[in-house]
Amino acid sequence: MIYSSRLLSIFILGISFLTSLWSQEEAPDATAWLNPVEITSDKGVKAWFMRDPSTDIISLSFAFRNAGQVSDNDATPGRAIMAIQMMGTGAGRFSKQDFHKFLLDNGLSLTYAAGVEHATFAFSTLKDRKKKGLELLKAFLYKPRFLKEEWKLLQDQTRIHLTNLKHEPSHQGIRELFSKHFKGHPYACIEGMTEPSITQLRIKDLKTYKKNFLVKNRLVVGLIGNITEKEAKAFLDEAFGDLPQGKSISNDLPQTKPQQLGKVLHVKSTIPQSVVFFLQEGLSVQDKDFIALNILMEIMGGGLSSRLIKEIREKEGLVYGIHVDIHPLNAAPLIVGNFRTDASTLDKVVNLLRKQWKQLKDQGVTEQELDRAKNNMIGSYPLNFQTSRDIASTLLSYQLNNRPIDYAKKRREMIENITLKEINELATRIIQPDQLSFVVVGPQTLRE
Amino acid sequence: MNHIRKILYTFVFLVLCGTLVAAPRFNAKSFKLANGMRVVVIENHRAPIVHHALWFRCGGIDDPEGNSGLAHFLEHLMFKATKNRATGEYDRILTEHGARFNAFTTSDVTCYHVEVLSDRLPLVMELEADRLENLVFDPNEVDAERKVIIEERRTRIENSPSALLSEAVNQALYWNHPYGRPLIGWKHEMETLELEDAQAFYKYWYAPNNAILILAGDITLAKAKNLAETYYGPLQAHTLPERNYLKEPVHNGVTQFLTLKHERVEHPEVAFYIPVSYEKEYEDSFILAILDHLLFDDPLGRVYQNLVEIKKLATWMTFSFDQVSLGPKYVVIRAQPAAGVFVEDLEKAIVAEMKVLKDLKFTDQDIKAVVDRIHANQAYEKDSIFAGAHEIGLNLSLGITLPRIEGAYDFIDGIRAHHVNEMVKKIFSTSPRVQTRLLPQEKKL
Repeated sequence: MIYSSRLLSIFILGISFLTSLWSQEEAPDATAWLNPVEITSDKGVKAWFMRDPSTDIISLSFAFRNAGQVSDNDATPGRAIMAIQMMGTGAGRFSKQDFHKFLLDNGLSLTYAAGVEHATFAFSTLKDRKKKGLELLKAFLYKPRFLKEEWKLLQDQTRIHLTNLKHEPSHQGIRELFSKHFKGHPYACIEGMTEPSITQLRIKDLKTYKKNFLVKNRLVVGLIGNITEKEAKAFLDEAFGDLPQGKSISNDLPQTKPQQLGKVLHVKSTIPQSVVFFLQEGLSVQDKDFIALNILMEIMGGGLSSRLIKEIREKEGLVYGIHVDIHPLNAAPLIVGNFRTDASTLDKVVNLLRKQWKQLKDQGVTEQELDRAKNNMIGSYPLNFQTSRDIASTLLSYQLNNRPIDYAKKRREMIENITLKEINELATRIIQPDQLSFVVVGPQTLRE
Repeated sequence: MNHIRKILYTFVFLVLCGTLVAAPRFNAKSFKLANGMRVVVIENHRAPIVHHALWFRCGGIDDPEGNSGLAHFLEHLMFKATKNRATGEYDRILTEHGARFNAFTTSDVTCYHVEVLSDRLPLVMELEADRLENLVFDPNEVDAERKVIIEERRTRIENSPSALLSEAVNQALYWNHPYGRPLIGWKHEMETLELEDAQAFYKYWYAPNNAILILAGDITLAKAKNLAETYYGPLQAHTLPERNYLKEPVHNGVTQFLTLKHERVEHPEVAFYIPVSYEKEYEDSFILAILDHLLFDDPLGRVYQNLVEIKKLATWMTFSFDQVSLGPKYVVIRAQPAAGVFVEDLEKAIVAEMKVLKDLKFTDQDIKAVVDRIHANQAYEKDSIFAGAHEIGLNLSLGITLPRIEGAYDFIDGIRAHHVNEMVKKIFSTSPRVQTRLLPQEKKL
């Protein structure tokens, strides 16, 4: 079926473009088989590694901390995204075509993205093509060609892509949200990436980025495959052992706070709907109440039986989807939600949402809701691991969030131990109906 | 690398290349209940989780005249109350057990799927069997849900210039066949979808003998038989209506040109819709996938390289095609002109490419290289716990037999240059039935 208009799904879950921006860690609980060990190779490369005899694939997920879009400075917006893209357009002995062909011929897979915070990569190879896989990965990491003609083509494509995005309501909303709430902070980086800024970027900027940010002391790795610990260490050395050390990363991101809390921001658009994002402050992953907040948001707007879905979609029919999630950005943890509604019902939905927010603060949740949410988070956990790649990426995101190595095992207990009293105290403390801010993309803003 | 994704998608679910005798792709087992429900089991015990999907042979094309959007509307209503459970209970119970669940409607089929810990499977089946028999249609809920689907229409269609254009494209591609109607429905018809319409559709189509159950993951055949018998065995079969649709007439060489100028478009896009017919509809789509790779792959495909990389007329270019479906089929070429390139010039270049293409001769070696790539990707499919579930569910629902699906790999190995060359000739010597331009609004001076 090629025509998307011939396929409709009932629910929109989540805001995928948001979740793709940072490492998302969801729903805790232990499974017997998620038991990684921490290993360190001879050349000092650390990784979380898990041996899995049930697969022929070696899957690697790795990231460079704070080497995502936050690493763009004011002079070079878009640098991280463009540099990483360029690395895939030819490296070492491979032209762009050869690079691509070598991937396909050998059943290799390589994907990469510069998220808001981190630059993340996923690489997989068949166990028996490991050598070829490493050859390609090393060319990519150490010898990108950064050729002029490829750069020109990528710039052209990106400029056109950016102009198209100008009219894409979700993108308009996210852009407004970050650039206004984090003015002056690296989190506002999304604002700088424009057609002229892409034109101004130079190949030497990309090279500088690679030299300064794709470095050993930023590297975080998750690895799974049917290989021994010894083989795993050799693999890590081969792939990452020769990366240079970089400067200290402790000053990358100053702590900050969203600057427009309680306000309503409007981006004018002629679409028939209002596309709305709302946010308030959240908690850091390290906070003792982080899991409790997870549960609270699960109850409020996490799934298909959440309070918001029940009250605003099922009873009133005002939205097709409404969802809230936690986004634990390191320097400014957030709670972010979104919905779309006809422009004429915008005020009504916002009022209902505020009412729900206030009710959560004042009255908390019930014992029954808490139990259900706990059971959901524990029971759904194994569903996150359908492929080796899923497992490798979880091993990576736990490290990016500074979790302990036995987190998968502890998680269940951490969830089970949360009491009604604790979670309702948290609700009173953290939920801030007056501090909810809104970004409205659509023909008009709130009437109030 | 969007290319890898494309291959994985196209050949999603190929398994193991047998060295001597090709092993079945999924090793799926199948049986039928006395009431006609077909059950397929694909075992994989890597993790204690299972996929449960009910596929119904009904979809948008079964919407009665004047009631466009009904099949999809009913799919929404299936999540409401039953005689035994209040509205919200289905979602609540599954959520409480950590399940993930959803449903989708296509023009041809409707599917309800759940992924869950394998020891919760009996519970899932109890809930599913209940809503197949005991769904309650409450007027207030029908009213609220109608608003939800109209909101969905705004989200999917009215906010998007390309979706608005595609509604007109479908009208032009299908003069008589029901694919011409929007799956989500025309807004004015959605507004008048009544409780009784949904109820009738439910009674008409939702019978065990119109359903295929797919179980994938941590489940054995013996257990599947036992559970299916227990929960779905008691459902009553009934006589099904024939799915007999209006046929598409010949288009008499007519090419329709459609243009949408929209204020929210900055860069133009063009598309060519060319009709295609298959001899063996399931197998031929693999030939198309190879053709797609050879001609349009980014950055290896011949046409892609020529128009995007060498002549720099387009910033991107894609090829897509209908696979198994119940109606007329098309292939589509889409492209976006590079900055400074006129739409007309890109269109001319694409037409010129097509003229050359029809006489193109690939060699067996060209084909083998692509087939080898497909093999190289098989381990990834095996690595996925629910591999095969979607492929089998969809294709069985559309009348493709299980041995054909299991044997796809044998077929692919047998594809030779002349198969691809004939397909290329067939497609590129046919005039497009529809050509489109999505354009920016002319700037007012």
